[in-house]
Parts: sequence; structure tokens; C-alpha cells
Amino acid sequence: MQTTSHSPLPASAQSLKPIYAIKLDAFEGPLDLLLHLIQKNEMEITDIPIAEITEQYLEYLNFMELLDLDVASEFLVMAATLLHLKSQSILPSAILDEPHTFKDREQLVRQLLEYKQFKAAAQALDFYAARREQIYGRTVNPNEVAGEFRDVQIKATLFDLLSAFKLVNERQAFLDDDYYEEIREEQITVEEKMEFLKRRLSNGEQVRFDELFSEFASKIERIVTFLAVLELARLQQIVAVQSGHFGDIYIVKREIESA
Amino acid sequence: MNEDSITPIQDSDLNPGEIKSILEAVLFVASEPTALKQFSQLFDGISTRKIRQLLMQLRDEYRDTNRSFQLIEIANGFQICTRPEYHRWVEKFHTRRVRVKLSPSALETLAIVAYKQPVTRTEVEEIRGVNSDSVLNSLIEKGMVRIAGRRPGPGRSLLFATTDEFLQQFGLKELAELPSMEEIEQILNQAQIE
Repeated sequence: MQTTSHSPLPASAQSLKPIYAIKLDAFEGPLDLLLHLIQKNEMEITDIPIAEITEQYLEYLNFMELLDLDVASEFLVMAATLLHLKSQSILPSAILDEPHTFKDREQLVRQLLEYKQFKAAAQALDFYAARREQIYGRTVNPNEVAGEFRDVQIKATLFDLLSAFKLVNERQAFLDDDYYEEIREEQITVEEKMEFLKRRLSNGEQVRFDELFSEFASKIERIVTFLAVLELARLQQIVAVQSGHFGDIYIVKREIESA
Repeated sequence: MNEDSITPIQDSDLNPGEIKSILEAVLFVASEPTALKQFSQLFDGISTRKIRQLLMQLRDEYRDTNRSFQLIEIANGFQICTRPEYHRWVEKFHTRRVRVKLSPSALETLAIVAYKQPVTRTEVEEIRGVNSDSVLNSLIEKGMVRIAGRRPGPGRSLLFATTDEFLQQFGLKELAELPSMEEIEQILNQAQIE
């Protein structure tokens, strides 16, 4: 191919090509990489030439490090396992604990075979999902169906929160004018407000977003409250849910899974 | 699926044709698969066997009259859906729904959970050879995987299983419909041809 001289790509883009290729080939883990190498070399999983595969594996690892890709520690553990197997395979068998070597190798083979199966299953599932996408069910807004009100909860987005906050502000804007002549010193910090909100939500109840703002909260206090809500949401300690799009927003404490 | 909001209708005089129409009406307004149990809660004294039989009749009627929609069994329930051959036009008409395309690692993890459930995080990681904490969490967030309790014994590790939403998204009637290893091979060969 004489693409180099007539390529439409600028030189800078061409130099990025190898990185791009690697990104496309991102490996899920060391087993994925091994499987890739085995398939590329048309080797049998049950009969891998350890020395050869180890060499190629390490080359890849070096390459990944060269490109500054985040090499997960599992890749290094696998490298150690391969080197171990390789060292065993070149030592004279007389000084080796034969059954043990056999066991290590067997385990790697078993792991690769099992992983390969699940990789295939994942591909099959992807195919199922694509097939499923070709049929459509009816979508009925449950609120349109007469009968008991069903509380369909969806997660409120940042924009939902912002517009709810805007409403609160509009409702309490009279406080911002010279309605009160006395200027109160506002000392409450976002951290304090966060603690307050956490306590308020601790008994598992849902609190409507606008109820978080006390009736006579000043502008500063409202902003502090809002920032505290955003921060708690960011820390995933609370969730903002809505009963349908544009519905009222409720704040709920998130159940944290232990372990 | 909302099971307790349905109150039984007190008409045991309904004839099979009427019951079938009621089932059809309920299917028509349902956005999610409806389970046999939910249908049976609509009536007083009509067996789930009878209901299943009538649903099968409904399914056959749609098929025999070449309707553009079909009654399918999916995610442990029944649902009226369009037929795949009309997919092109429906898609053209509808604003494309956001596809929840799973990443290869999510798909791989989901496959392990689906076949091995209930399964612990450690077991998933042993097969994948990598840390699977965040990918499991994201599958839970997407509603594909749920926590199905804890394994008895030391550590009491959390057990993970798939949800009805998983069945729904992948077009499976029940877990028993997951393809076997031979079927997977066939599917992948077929996918290559297409």
C-alpha cells in the first residue's frame, strides 16, 4: 500500500493512529488479552506455547505502558503467573515438582476456556438485544389511565432541581426586598446545612424539595440549602426523585449497601 | 408491575369472549409485561389456566389475521408488541429511543450473572480476571442486576441476580430461555452471516 504519501490525513493525525488502534482494542482484562493473542496466533487454548505467549503478552503490556494507558494491576499479576509458568517450563523436569506445574497450567487453561464461553454468551446476548429492539411495546402514560394514582418515580435531573429552585426563589422573593428591615447575620455553612438535611432525612421519609426551604429563609440560606442538596446528591447520599416528568421533586436518603 | 392496585370484578357470568376482550383491553393500556397472576386478580373465580388459554387464543387471532402486532411472552408476562418486520417504519416515525447500549465489559459481566446466578462479586471476578465492582454497580443502576440476598456462611457476601428488566431488554420470556452453549454458537454463526 502506498497510503503514506497520498494519505488525506495530516501527519499529526497519522501519528495518533497507533494509539487509536489500541483504544479500539481495549481489553477487558488479562484473560481477554491472552485470548486475543491466542486467537491471533491461531493457537489452541489447551496447548499454549507458554514461552511465546509470555513474550507477546509482555510486549503488549510494555506497549500499553508506553502509551500511558492505565494498566490495571490484574495485568501485572497475570504477567507474573505467565513468567512463573515459563520458568517452570524451561527448568529440567527432574528438579521440578511436576504435579504442581501441571496444576498451575491446568488452572490457566480452565480459566481461559470458561472466560471464552462467557465472552461468547455476552455476544449472543448482544444479538438478542438487537433483535429485541426491532419490536415495540405500547407505551402508556400511567397517569392517563384512570384509577389509582401510581407513583412512578424517576430520577430528577440537575435541570429539574434548578427549575424547582427557581420556583422556590420566586415564591420567597418578597423576603429579598426590604420587607424585613432588620438584617440578620447568616452564619450557616453548606457543611452545616448538609448535616441538617441528613438528619432530617434520616428516618427514611421523603421530603418535598420546596419543603427543605423554611418559609422565611433568606436568599443566602436558600442558596446554601440548594448547594447542600447538590453536594449530597453528588456524594450519592441522597436521591432526587420525581413522580413523572415535571412532577414534584422529592428528596430521599439513599440506602447504602454495606459490604 | 403493580399488583395490589387491581380490585376484583364481581362478574362470574362473563362469557369467554368478554373475558378475552377484557384481557385485551388491559394489555392495550399496559406499558409493561403483565403477569398471569395480575390478570387473575382482575376476576373472581376464573382460573389462571383459563386465562392463559384465552391469551393463547388472542395470540393466535392476531397471528391468523396478519395483524402488525403480536402478543408475546416476555419477562414472565404478556405484552402486545409490534412485529419485527415493521421495525423500519416504526423507527422512522418514532423519535429514536435512547439505546441503552451496554459496554463489552458490562455485557460480559451480565452474561456471567445471568448464567451463574445467584453469584457473588468474587465469583464474577474470578471468571473475568478483573475487578468488577463498578461494572456490577452500574448494572444495578441500569436495573439489569439486583442484589438477591447474602450467601450463608463466613463473609455473608452479597449475591447478585438478574431482574425482569434484563429479561425484558433481551427479549427473554424467562431465564430458562437463555441460550445453551450450542445455541450460542449457532447464534454467533448466524450473526456473522447477516
